Amino acid sequence: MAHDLLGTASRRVHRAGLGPWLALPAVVLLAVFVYRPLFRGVELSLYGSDLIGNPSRFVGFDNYIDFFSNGDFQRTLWVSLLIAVLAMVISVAVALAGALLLRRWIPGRGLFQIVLSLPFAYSAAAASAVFFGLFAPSIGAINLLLARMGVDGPAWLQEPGWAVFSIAISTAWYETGFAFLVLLAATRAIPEDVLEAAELDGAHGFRMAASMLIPLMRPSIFFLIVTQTIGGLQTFTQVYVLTRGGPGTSTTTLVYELYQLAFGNGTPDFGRASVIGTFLVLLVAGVTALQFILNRRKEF
Amino acid sequence: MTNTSTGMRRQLGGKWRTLRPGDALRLAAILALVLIMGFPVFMTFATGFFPNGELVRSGLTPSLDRLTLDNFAEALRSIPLVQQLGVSVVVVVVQSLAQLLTSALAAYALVFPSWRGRGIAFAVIVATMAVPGESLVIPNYELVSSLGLRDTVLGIVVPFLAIGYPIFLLRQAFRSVDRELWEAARLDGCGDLRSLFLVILPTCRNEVTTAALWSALAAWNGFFWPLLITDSPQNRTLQVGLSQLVSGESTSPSVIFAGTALVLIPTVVLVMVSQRLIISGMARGVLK
Amino acid sequence: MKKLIPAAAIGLLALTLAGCSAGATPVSEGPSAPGPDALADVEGVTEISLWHGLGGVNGETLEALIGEFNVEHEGEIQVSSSFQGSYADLLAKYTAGLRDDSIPTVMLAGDIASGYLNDVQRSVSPEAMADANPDGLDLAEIRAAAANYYSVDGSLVAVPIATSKPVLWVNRDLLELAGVPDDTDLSTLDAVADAARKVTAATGQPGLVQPFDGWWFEQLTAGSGNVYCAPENGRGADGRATAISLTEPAQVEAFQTVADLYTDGVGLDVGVDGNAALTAFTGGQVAMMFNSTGALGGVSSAATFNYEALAYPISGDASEAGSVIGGSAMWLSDLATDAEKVAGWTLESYLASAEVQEGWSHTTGYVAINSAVDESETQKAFLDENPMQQLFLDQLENTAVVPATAGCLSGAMTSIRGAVVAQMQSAFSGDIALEDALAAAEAEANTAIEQYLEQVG
Repeated sequence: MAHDLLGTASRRVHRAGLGPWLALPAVVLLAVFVYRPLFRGVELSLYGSDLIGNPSRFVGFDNYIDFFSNGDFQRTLWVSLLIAVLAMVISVAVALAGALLLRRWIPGRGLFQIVLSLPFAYSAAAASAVFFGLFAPSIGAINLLLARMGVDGPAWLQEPGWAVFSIAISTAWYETGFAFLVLLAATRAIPEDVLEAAELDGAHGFRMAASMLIPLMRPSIFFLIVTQTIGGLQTFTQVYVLTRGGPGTSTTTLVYELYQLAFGNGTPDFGRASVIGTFLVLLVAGVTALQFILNRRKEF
Repeated sequence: MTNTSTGMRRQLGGKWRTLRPGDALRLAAILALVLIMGFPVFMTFATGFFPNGELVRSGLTPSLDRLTLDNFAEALRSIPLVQQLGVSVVVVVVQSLAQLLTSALAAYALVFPSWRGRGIAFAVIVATMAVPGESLVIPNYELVSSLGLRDTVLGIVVPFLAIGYPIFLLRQAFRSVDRELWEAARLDGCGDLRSLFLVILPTCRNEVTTAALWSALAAWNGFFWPLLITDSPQNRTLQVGLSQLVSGESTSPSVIFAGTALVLIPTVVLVMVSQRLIISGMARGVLK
Repeated sequence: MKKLIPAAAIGLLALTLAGCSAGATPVSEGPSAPGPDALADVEGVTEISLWHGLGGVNGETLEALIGEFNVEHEGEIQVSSSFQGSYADLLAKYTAGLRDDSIPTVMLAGDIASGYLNDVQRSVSPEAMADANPDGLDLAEIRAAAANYYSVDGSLVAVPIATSKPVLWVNRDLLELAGVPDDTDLSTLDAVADAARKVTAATGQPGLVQPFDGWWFEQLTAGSGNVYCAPENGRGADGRATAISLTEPAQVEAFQTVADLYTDGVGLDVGVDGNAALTAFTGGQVAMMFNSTGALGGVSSAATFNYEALAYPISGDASEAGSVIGGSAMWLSDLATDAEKVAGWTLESYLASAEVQEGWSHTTGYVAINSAVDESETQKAFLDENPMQQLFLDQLENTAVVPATAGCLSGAMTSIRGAVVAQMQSAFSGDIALEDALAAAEAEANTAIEQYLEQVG
């Protein structure tokens, strides 16, 4: 009898019933809006398009050959990489400095924390709008302040060399907000007694940071490096707001080129644009796989 | 002097207030950092109140009788910010609710009932997190366009009704829930839906809030897709509207700053108010 | 739409008339052009839409004009106009609209969009509409040089509304200081180059500024008497442009003249932005400026010196060379109903009419495209007081109507400009030799044209 009761109870608890079907909405939506487009994108990339952008003739790998051989690929990949890496390095470095400097108490710490977190409130569009104003040629604050110090500021957004750097700076600035929150949290998560033991051993300041804190924060730092690099490779908003890919094509990232080909250049070409889309999938998959491998290596 | 007696210290938040001689240098470094990082924020909110170029020309010490609200008026005139606020709000509400719902349902299905395809379903769902959204934009544009949803608010949210990350978050949260709690609910006669909404979700209030906030922030900040799927200014989100303000022919930097400041008010207030909570929430996450 | 039979009968008549017009109509051949009855037969208001990319004062003036039109045609036609941002955004929206046939009745597209708009074949031929609606716009009144730009194989495909011309703005004070007296002939490119060099030699300031916008390289080409793309700038009987033309001797010489000014430090580099050039000129930084007639407002309000606008200096012979217009034109949607088409044509006729063009040109600085304006007394009085505007009109009237001055018609213009501008910037800053830059630009542009032609199918 008891056995039967348990059996019935167990069955009542574990009968499948409605349960698994609850995943259906999510699975269906993801299938329609992620998986279907994934394959459709590859399909589109194998077609040339008509004047409206619709696929009109099968061209096989011609679009790919064009993209990889006419210099567009190298150019856009380089710009994307440059922005991604520069922005990531600057933001992680600044955020790390902030988190480490504010780990121990100091008068006004609450206020400092808030200020360093504020960039997190900025979206890419908002941050770009602000830097558009700061970098403006004649009334931009940055150049005016530099002028007061006797330095002739460059045309941040109009000179090909500087434009990429300016986008990287804007990106780094708002990424620092999130990075700071993550790294500050990481410092808070370090057990006090471990740090105290180190302090008793005479570790302070830089030594403490280098030998104890940073290694203990490594997972968070790694997480930031990976996510910000992947995110940086997909830079679009800042380019759209600040430079529209210019001057010339010096700030055209992969995604911006995708946009130009598909929607921006007067004659939409979904086929060529989808080549970049497909490449991006492979690139991100590659970086993610790399991250996976590096992560597992650490566990050994 | 450190005191090693237990109970007098807290792990998180470091309440020790000892200062060392080297801290003067630390303060200087912090001030430099804060001034540089805070400068754009200051400019965002201060520039809009003065005529074009005034703030900087006066060396950041403008005379207060030059205060004006003209820039804000101009910003509101250049683009329909109020309508766009409405659009953004609707997008945030609909997208977050939809994502919460689909995620909660999916996470529940992936954790509690045991069924054969569960592992595969989870893999399929999580794999979507590694797909860059931009690569899906063109085919989704074709699809949403053909559904007649181009230039509509519904068209903005439709591709994002279910997203991998919140599902992942909630699944993790559900897995840490005591299984007996769920079994008890089921034994009491709760169907799956009732156990989910009445028992599981209330237990995971923190993670649900985190997931909701993540969804809301992502919806609020979204740019690429809303830009493409809408063209009429009044159907666009605030973020896209901002970009139109920047590229407008006759808008000066002060107006751009004014408009940006208006758009940023919600998120800035949010960050200022909840910044401590965010940090402690993250710290707990790291500890786990 | 309710009384189909009479409308169809009139439509058939219009079709016959349209078939009688000379030459092939490359824009939308099949459907007939509806006449006034198509609109009159509709009960109630016919609502039509107009999209444009004119901001600031120009946009406001346009919207005001449309408002007046709405009042005049109350109960019959109602126009809702919307500003779509820059010309690029406007075109992007139009392209997106093509997917589900949601294009506006009247599209005020920028000049270089003409090739694409012509190729998508969603527009009604103005000639057909003019023939079917004799009370509307008389196409013969459109100034030849403006019509030339918007014609394919002799037929007009769009009605110009906002037309600008390139001119040479000069700072008389600065020129005198440099020893270039007011009576110096500056009608040729070489003369202008000499004057510029004198300015730099005497004052150390740059003598000439040319924005690096693609338009200016097209002007240098037209000024040398050459087409920009072959065959016949894409407008001849031989059909669409298949290649760009950047290596004709006279053309290269013109490019070289200006490039040398830059590499010798006589030219001022402000990038592609015409506004930056304007600021530099009105600030007295540079003695001469290439800019459009539309810069009049900016120059007159900011310049503190004696200035003048002169005809764009050409390097070729005036009978075969000249300058190309800029601006925008109106395209009437072929997807609209007959009533809507007639309503749209009524609007176009209104906007292109002599009275409207007269006021329009006074406020905006665009040149009146309707030659009937010349007979107006108020116009004559206005021109007496504003001799510069007279020059603008003369520029438009006196341009030789040849393929070279018609400008290049190609759906790939945006890409072509991108290629040319990038290479020219390098050449003008001395990074690479001009021939290499031109060769590279030609290769890139030709690839773009090829790709475009594949898309046309």
